[in-house]
Amino acid sequence: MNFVSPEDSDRYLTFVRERWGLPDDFFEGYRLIAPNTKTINIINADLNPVDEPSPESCGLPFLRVKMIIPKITTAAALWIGPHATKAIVTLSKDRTDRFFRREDLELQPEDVCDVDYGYVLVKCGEMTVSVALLKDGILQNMHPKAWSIGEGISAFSF
Amino acid sequence: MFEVLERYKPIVDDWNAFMDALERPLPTCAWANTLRVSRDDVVASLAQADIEVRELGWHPDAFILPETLSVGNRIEFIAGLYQVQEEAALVPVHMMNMSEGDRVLDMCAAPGNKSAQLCVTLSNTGTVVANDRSYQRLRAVRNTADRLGLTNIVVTCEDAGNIPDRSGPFDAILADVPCSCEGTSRKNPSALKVSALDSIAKLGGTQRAILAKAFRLVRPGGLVVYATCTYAPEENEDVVQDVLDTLDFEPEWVDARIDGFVSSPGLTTWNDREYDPHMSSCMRVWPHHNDTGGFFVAMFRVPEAS
Repeated sequence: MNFVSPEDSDRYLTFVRERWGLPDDFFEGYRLIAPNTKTINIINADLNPVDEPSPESCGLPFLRVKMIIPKITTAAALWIGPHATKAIVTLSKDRTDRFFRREDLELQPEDVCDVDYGYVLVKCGEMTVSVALLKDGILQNMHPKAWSIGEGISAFSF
Repeated sequence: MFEVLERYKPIVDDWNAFMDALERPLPTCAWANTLRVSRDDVVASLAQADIEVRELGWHPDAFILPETLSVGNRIEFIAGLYQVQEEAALVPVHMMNMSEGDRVLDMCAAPGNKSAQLCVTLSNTGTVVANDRSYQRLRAVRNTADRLGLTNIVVTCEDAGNIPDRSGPFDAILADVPCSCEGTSRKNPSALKVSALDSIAKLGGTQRAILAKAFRLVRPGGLVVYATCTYAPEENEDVVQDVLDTLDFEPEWVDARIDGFVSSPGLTTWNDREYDPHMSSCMRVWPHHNDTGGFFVAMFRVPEAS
């Protein structure tokens, strides 16, 4: 495994912890690895993978780092969501459905949001459901296609 | 469609009930992702949408969802609060009873439900190596792992029978081998288009190679679990007996039973063949017993010094 250096790990984890107001010890017991130059994954510190066959992946995709501001992955957003205290936008059910259809959404007065720029966790009620880039009042949709819903479908219907 | 099952009449306790069960749709079973929420929290969230679930008496975190629910589109699913998995398929991992920090290999992991179940059981500690020989099918494994937030999963792509011995040792190994899948016919009726007998020649060698490899990769004192979703003794008891006959040590048979979950013992005879009498400690799951699919599980503890 290609471990991220202690300095870079500290930089990435501090960024995520401070951006989303996570507890100081949230990442204790975890380590960062760099499977490639674009992505950082997070693993539990006692992970003991195999050398052969060479792993296709280890742990949870955590950050996309080949960009000016690292982007938290949707997987990591769902993971930290229950513990995050800021950089969150909370949508109504109707708007969450639109978000699940991968629409960009203009921020509305009824959307609860505590920041005005950057990557934000998307919540509906207490559930963290995705991540978006908030820029110029628009929630740019980052929801994965694999977790999207089709037209005419609601994530809240029976 | 059920003609291919006629040969099991002598080993099914209630043939009419078995046939009736096969005609019914398979209930949708799910389990709470307890890394994120409790089962009660998921159930309460569903209840707010008037979705009533039915408890499973034997599994504390699992429940049955209504037939008509589009389970993959619900917000709780997208948020990674639950995972859908056939009830009978929950059985092997539940019986493995793994502990935090363990190192476990799932040899034929796709689509990844049992690997995910293992990861959650280990509370995101230790290691679960989720291997499958199909790179395409590993996409589903990773997708599930990402949605559920699994940090302790390692995904590999290798023919299970060829996993290098040096990748071990593992505390436990699940060999949920490719099979004729007769037991999945309630979900996938095409599984009964041909008799399992037609697949045996093709799959038998693979099944034996995978189980034999599991015994080579497990640590002394570790656990080996062999599982299929078929009724065919040729893919179950036959394979177990043949592989045990090749070992130069005697693994301990572990009784495969769950309180509150009805099952039948493994066969000790089939056609003209007699098996080790301990084969009765294996588990056969028939659809009419718990309203599930069909399943077979054999469990072994390898000696401390083998």
